[in-house]
Amino acid sequence: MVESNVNMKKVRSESTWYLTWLRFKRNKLALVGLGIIIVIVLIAIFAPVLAPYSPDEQHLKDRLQPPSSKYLFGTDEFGRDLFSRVLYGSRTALLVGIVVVAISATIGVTLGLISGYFGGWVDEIIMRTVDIVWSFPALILALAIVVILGPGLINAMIAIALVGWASYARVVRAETLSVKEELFVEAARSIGESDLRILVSYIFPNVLSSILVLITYNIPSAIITASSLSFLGLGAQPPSPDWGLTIATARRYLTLAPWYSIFPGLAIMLTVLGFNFVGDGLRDAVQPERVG
Amino acid sequence: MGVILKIEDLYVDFKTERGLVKAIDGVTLEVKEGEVLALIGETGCGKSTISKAIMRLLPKNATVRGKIIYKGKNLLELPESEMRKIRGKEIGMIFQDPLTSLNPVFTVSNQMEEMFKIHKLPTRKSIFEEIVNLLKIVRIPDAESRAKSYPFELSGGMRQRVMVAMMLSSNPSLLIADEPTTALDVTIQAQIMNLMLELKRNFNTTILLITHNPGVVAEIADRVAVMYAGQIVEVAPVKEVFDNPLHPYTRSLMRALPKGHKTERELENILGRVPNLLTPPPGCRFHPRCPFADERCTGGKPEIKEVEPGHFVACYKVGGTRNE
Repeated sequence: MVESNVNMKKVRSESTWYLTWLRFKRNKLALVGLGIIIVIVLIAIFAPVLAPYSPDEQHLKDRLQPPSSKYLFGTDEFGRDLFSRVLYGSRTALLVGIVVVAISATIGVTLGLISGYFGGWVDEIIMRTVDIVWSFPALILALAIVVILGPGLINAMIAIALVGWASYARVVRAETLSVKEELFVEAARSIGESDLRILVSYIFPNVLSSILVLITYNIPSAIITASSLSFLGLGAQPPSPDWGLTIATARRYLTLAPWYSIFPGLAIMLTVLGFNFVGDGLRDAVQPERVG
Repeated sequence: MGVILKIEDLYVDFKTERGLVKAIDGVTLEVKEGEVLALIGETGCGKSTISKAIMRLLPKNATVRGKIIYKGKNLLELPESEMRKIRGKEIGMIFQDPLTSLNPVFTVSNQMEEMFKIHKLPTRKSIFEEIVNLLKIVRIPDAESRAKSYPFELSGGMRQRVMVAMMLSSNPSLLIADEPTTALDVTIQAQIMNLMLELKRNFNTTILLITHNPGVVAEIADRVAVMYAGQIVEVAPVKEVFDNPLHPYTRSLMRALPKGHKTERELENILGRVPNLLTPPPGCRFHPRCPFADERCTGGKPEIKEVEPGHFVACYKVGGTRNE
């Protein structure tokens, strides 16, 4: 009897998320990705502690220095320490990732749930809007929106979110269409649940895993798009240590100081890679449980 | 015994790409308070459509005509908000597949809590204690820890018990059980059936049991309604249906049943096939397969008549077929 009680406790802890984590853990690449993300998040948080100089501190005597023990990644045209700036740049990158995902996921998931659950003309309007958004290359559309809103990091984030919601809407709609046919949804209606409650407590939690996978893919693509906009001068403005902006400035000194563009470029690449590894791992970990 | 649910002249059509499917064709049926009425028929004959029509859970492409009167109210005319109060509280429903009828991301107690919240059920103790108590009533062992389990950690029989326990919480007057044991093992089937019988005895719950399993019917039903292709062909007390079936369809159905003591006999089958409900045969829908059919059967739909006390049949030939 005592034995069986112990077993019960063990069984109870095996929630769906725990099982997903167990599967995720087996994927080495995903763990590497998770490690990279954790390191970047820590860097963003502790940038003031880790950075040897302030990102804006100019050492006019040491302009465009190559990497050395004094300036780990070298310096830029104002003698600012590139290592410190790359560290601080992680803040912008993560901020972009988080804000864009928050806005586009909120819009996209809400519209996708409504579209899939209610169907009819509401569905028609939402999905045709998605088609329109999707008919433009993401960067071009974001570019157009930023041009209308005016350049700047915040506007760039809004623009990327206004493009990004469409994929959430489409994925969530498709998932909702299949989940709403499940017997437990009918059972929920048969005990008197309202449509809103069914959407929030029955359908949303059951499409959440796909949303999470989408989010981990969406963060790096948002970071890349934001960097591209900054590179084009429409995103982050000087003197921000944004990676994309840094690369744009570095372009002018490419022959003179090649390290200038390499380090922020590597930073973007590592961040994106980390999130993509996690996204792949998460997708594989989430998929098998969907059957049962 | 009063009549708790009266279905009058119910028609349900489904609009599909291939045309109008006339799934329910003029069904009239009474469910008496405190009884177990079994609705029996082949797969696709409209049993589940009737249960969904009662709950107003039919898909959007369905059009419903007729009346479904529950305790004096026509359910088909109630506003959706009123209907929600009836679902679960007044009329409960148990589904065929317990494996998928619980939300996979909720624990058992979360799920059962919903009943208490939606219908603001009175509780003497905490909701959790009430839930554990209900789980004990349906004989779920180790109820406390089971309440905290997720559905996928429970067996099919266990999940069906949870569904029954959920229904117990609001103690509905009418319980619609749509093939509640089809997906379960035979031993578990009997346990669930007994559980439902206990419900009926202890709480005077009326049960509308939908099944295609005559064995289950013989065990627990008081009366039986036999459906064929969207029409009710015979309604009678359970003993009558098995010992003295009058409608040719019911008779063939009974002959198709294996009986333990008549092993030498080969089982009969019913010739022909179930009609396509896009273009149902005119008149009695059984006539193309009926050995006794004549011109009259193809002309108009036979009315359901009481031919013996409590024994209703919809067949022009009833007198003739009985004594042949």
